Amino acid sequence: MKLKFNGREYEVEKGVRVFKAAKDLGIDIPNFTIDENCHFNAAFDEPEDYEYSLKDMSVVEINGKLVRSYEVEVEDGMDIWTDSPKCKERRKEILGKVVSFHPLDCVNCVKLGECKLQKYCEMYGVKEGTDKVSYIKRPKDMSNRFYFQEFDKCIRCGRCVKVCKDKVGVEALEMVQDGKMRYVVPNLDAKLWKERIGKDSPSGKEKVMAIIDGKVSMADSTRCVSCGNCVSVCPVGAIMPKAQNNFREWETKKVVTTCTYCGVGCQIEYLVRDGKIVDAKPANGPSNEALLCVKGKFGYDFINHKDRLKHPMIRKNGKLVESTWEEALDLAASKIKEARDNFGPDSVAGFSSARTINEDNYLFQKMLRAAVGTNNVDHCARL
Amino acid sequence: MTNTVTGIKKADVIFVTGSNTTEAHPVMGMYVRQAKKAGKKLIVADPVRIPLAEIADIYLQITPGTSVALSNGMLNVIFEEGLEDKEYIKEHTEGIEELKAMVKKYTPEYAGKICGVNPDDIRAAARMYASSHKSYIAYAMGITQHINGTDNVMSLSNLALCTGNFGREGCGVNPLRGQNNVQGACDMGALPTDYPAYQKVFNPEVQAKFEAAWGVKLNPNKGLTVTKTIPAILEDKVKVLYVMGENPAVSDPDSHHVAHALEKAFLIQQDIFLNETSEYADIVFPVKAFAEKDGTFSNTERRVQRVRQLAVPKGESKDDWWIIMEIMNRLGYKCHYDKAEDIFNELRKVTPSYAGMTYARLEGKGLHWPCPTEDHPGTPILHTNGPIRNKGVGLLKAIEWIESPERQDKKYPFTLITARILYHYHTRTMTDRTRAIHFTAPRNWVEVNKDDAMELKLKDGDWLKVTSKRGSTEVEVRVVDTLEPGVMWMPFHYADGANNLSDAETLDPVCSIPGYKVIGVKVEKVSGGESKKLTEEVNNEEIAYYENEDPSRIRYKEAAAEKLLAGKGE
Repeated sequence: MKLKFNGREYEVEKGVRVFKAAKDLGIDIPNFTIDENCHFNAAFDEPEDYEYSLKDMSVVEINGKLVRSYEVEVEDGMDIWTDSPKCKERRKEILGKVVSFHPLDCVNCVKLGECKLQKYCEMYGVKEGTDKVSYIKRPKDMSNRFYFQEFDKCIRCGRCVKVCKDKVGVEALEMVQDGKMRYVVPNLDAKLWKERIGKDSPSGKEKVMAIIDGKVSMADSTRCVSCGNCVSVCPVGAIMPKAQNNFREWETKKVVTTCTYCGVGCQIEYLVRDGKIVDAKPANGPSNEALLCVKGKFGYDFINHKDRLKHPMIRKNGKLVESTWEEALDLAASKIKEARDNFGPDSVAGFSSARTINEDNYLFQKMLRAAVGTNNVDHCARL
Repeated sequence: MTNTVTGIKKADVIFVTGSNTTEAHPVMGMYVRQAKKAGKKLIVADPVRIPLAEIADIYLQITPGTSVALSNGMLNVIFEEGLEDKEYIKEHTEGIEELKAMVKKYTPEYAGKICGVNPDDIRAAARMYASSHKSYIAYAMGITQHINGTDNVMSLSNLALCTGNFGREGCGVNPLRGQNNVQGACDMGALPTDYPAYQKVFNPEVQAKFEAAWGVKLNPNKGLTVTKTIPAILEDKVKVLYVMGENPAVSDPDSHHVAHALEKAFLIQQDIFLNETSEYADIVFPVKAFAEKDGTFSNTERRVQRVRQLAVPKGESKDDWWIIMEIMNRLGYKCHYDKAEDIFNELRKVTPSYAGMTYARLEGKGLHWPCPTEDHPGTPILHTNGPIRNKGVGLLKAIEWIESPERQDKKYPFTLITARILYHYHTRTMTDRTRAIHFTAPRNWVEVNKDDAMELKLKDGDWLKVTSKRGSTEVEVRVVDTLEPGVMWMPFHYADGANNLSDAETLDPVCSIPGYKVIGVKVEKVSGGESKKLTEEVNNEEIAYYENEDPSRIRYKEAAAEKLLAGKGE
């Protein structure tokens, strides 16, 4: 079907929401609540009468009316304006409210350059808050080993809560409300709340206060599996990986590759600076749907580890010592040859690897079969 | 896998057995949770009350090593109540009469007694599984790592065949493969009896084909498996062992035995780190890590995906294939490749299931094998026109349950299960180098049922000597309520741990897999204090790390200070 975005005609598929149709055409409609891959929209979990609603960030103007672009499906002949003065006005209004409670200490924020709030404020010229909001300030929660939470920067988009609940399925986080404001807190069992603050079901405020008083922290969550998907979806700097590789997003190159751990085959987008991995994010692969686990998200330190082998080594007088490639290769080949020629090809055996690429495995078995003459090749599939 | 990873979300009924999915295949585990939220049914059968058991509709806490009895019990119910797919059985299977006759005695009562579960739960599980043509079986090493591992798998296949659960979206028998490219290593012929694409070395036609392709005379004799290579070295039959990217000193059963063999052979090793195996290596070649090389991995759903170079290689490290190529040339077999893609283009020619793949076609979402031609879209679901075997006829195999000899020796009254944990990967050579992972799981432990613990006067943090017929190890105790009395559990990641105890001699007769999941052990409490000391050491190490080494130390200290201030009420 045909419709117009910002005055230009496009061909789109039936049954798609306006937001998705625009995204597929490369037209970016501002929003905080929808994840980059359109797998979920946390806006649906916002209370209807909520003062700081982000729902309208993604408004578009259709026939003079503002509608939320993720709520309506495309229709034939639609005339959609994604950045009309009316849209801008509505977005500025929301940004003005958000900025009133978000610290504007951007020069000291690691998320600088990647932050969506910063991006939109810059786009719409929002410089300061328009509202006087009272909210409870909280200290950083450093208790998880893999990530930390700085929820004073939280814009209440609900993405982390949503991904944890609907995609990871563990519900380690929850959104509580106190007055006009919402707060993300660890979702703990009633028993633990009772133990720590003497109440089975504390109110939102009591939960936040318990965190401030140091009575509970993210480390108390037995549900959290440290998968870091909350980190990956946070549009601002409220949940960040602890590994601080002192990079800025614009300094990095992004490359997608396949994860090296289990057999699911997740696609990871690595951020690389100067040939070194500085961060990992889930790519929208066919088997991982933009999700990762703790190993995929945080387990890449081994690649740049100082213990990595850098030279061939040969055992001399009982000790492994550095050697040249020539020497090591010649020795290996001569030992294989010696065994093959004196004791037959079956005196050589090889363990190939389920960890390395197909090409290595193919050549390894070919070496044993074609160059040595034995079928003594196996790998750790059974182990 | 016969089906896809995300296909699990399309199933009506998910049967997870012998897989602690949320720990070993975490993203797959997330899908199970998503499916459950979407109202799908979940059956879990596992000796350990795994996290998925908590959300299961039916949970069967079976005795270790009794999967065949459970499957037979479920089949008994299915046949008794007429829940089987008669049409599918008639059209697509053989051996139904023998199977029916054999499972007759596996009444839910009989099977329940073997498995240690309530007969009614077996009935309910059978009814639930057979209620749909979208019943998805997901299993892992809890099914295969038994001395009757092949039987376990066949018995699950019986279940799927008798209910017609093959060849459609959301069903099938799906082994969750543990390593990133274990599927690919098998596909590529890193097996003692198989050339690439499971073409048998003892088949003269296949041999002729590969002799023509590779231009040399080839050996028709079956080779040695990993588990058979170790004794062959000790018997002086194998002189040179070439190990690429493995750590047999920790991963292979019966570590003491393995150490002797590695010591004896001339050992050539190729790896990214020195590991426990390097202690015995005569030559070590440094290689690039996955992030530093181009190539392909084949995941558990047979999807071939690209691996792309993104980081700079370390020092003089080389591609694995480059080293192999250099050695082949030195052995007198002349060959030359400039890049991994050259090898891929060669292997396509002799691997029919990969024939239609090119690096260009693998961009984006990759391709599922079989993909025989360049215009073939790949095959996400196998057996769509009936089982691939023998013109669409699947084999039903009547299999009796056998008890592991490990459970019969009264001198070793406890059954030890070994398994993977979320944070670590195999022998930890990679994961332990992420500090946060190291601090999360720094050392070995054993989990003990709470009643057993009471009887043995054990509490958390006590120290236990665990002994099997092969050897022993001393580990810290964690008291749990997720195990049945008489069953213990230990992660397999740690050197001098679980594999000191496992058996390298009694193997599955078909595939030579060791029985890692059923190890007979005895235990003895040893002097305390040690574990406390170790815990303190690790805690101090962690504090010292965050104080002195951690790049985010400023933030950490700041937070600590804020916390202190908050404590003072300022």
